[in-house]
Amino acid sequence: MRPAWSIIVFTSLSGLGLGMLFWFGLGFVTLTQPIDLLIFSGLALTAVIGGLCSSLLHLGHPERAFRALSQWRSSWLSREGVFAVVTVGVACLYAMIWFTDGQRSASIGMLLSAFSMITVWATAMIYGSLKTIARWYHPLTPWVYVSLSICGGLVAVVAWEQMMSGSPVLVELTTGVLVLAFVVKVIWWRRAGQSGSGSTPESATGLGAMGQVDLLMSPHTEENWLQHEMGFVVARKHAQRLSQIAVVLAFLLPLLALWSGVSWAILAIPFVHFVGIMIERWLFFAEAKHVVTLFYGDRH
Amino acid sequence: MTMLPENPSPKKLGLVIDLDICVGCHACVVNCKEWNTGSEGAPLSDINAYGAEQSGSWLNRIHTFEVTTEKTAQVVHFPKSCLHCTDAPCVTVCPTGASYKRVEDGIVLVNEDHCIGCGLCAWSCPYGAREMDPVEQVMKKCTLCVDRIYNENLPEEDRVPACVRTCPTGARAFGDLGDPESEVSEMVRERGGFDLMPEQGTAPVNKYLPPREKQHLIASDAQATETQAKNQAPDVAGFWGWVDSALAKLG
Repeated sequence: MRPAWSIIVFTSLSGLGLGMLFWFGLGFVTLTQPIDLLIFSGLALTAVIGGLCSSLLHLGHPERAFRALSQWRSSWLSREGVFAVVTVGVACLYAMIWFTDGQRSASIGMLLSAFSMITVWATAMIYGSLKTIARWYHPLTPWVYVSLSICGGLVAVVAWEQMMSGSPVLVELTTGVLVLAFVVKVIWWRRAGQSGSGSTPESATGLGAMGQVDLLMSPHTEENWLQHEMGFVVARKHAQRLSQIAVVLAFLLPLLALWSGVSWAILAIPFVHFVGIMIERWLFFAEAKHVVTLFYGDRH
Repeated sequence: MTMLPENPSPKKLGLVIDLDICVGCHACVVNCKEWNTGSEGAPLSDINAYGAEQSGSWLNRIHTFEVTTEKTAQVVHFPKSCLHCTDAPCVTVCPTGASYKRVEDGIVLVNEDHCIGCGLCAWSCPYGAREMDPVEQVMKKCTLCVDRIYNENLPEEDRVPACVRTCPTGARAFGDLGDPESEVSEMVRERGGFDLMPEQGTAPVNKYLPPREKQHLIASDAQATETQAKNQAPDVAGFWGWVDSALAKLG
């Protein structure tokens, strides 16, 4: 699948912001003065809304995007939109009450944490529900998105806490979450990465009983939209190297920085981690194979 | 609404494509483009149609495959358009309700005024039946010529999809595949019509009829070897025979 920048930024940036809201809802964020509350929630909401705006760039008709909130009964894309709007609303309410009362509401906070993760789950299911792409159609796919989102939110909170208190906090928890997210992703790479669609050029054409099926002539001399969108092959050559870089940036360097206790290194963690996640997301699309390519001479 | 119809009519309009007859002339592709570019929706646009790197939206495409066994090879021309699936994944993934399946006859259509051009329906389709229009930025797909088949302004013989009407060999048939007594259902029964990628669980309405076994492909090994030997050593006498052997000596 072609890795469109709008979609990579959408899933990784909104994932980060929703992860921040998850920890914010659980009250993990230290606030030394009321304005900090607005700064932290502002940063998280900017990431969420920025990610959503990026997703609009992927649309042929962004001016009709409001219509995408209507089909939540069947469409994960629609559900993602609805949950995102609800989560942003709950986050605003939670921050407002905290700001005016000087005390956070634990119940609304729980609600915020729950909704932010449901939104991430829905984002993942946009891809995880597509049977045509075996790599995505795996029960672990939403867990990868959720664990990486929680992980991204936590490293952002850690950097924030470093800024507030000047000393490293939550070191054990963050280590555990980073390792857990890494393990989930590695299992996904091993399991989902190897899963086949079960479809072949023989089953695609129904001619398998007659023999082996190979494309003799393409329907057209130039690449068409389907091949441009779903026949992306550039990445496969470098996939292994890129996944190693993603692991180093998203997990290894953050762990080293965390345990070094060096202030500037801890402040840099969310940025380094985020670049790693962007590469991970790029690979998520670039490595995915769509069964339609079987009609164009591919054999998965 | 992008839910599939809860109480669909038993009527399932669709095509039966005979791979034994199709000669791969692309006439159905051209007539499809011609008819649908002038029909109700936005025109099917082309980018750079007469230059290098052309692209454009088409609703019907002909692939040509080679089917080989150890002894034989056979060319099969393979028309492919929307199969109007009973369990159409392209309908349920649509976030706006633009993509829908008609209750009355099962035709899968796109309401272009509500389409946001997200492309998710095309991602969900195993068959590559949907293409994004490069100019209008809305999703395009086969309508089964819904504006022909019920059109009383057309002579009766024209009330079939453009591809069916134009096929010079009669490789395409149109009818109600939900009615076991219909002509198309009978063709499917008699010829062993099959689904494309049944493992994808889409339950396509359109069916394909397999190529018949070719007599010349059942040639024995001996015949094949004999032919091969003949081709390798052409028995030419006289002047051309001398030229042949002289050139062979030159290496």
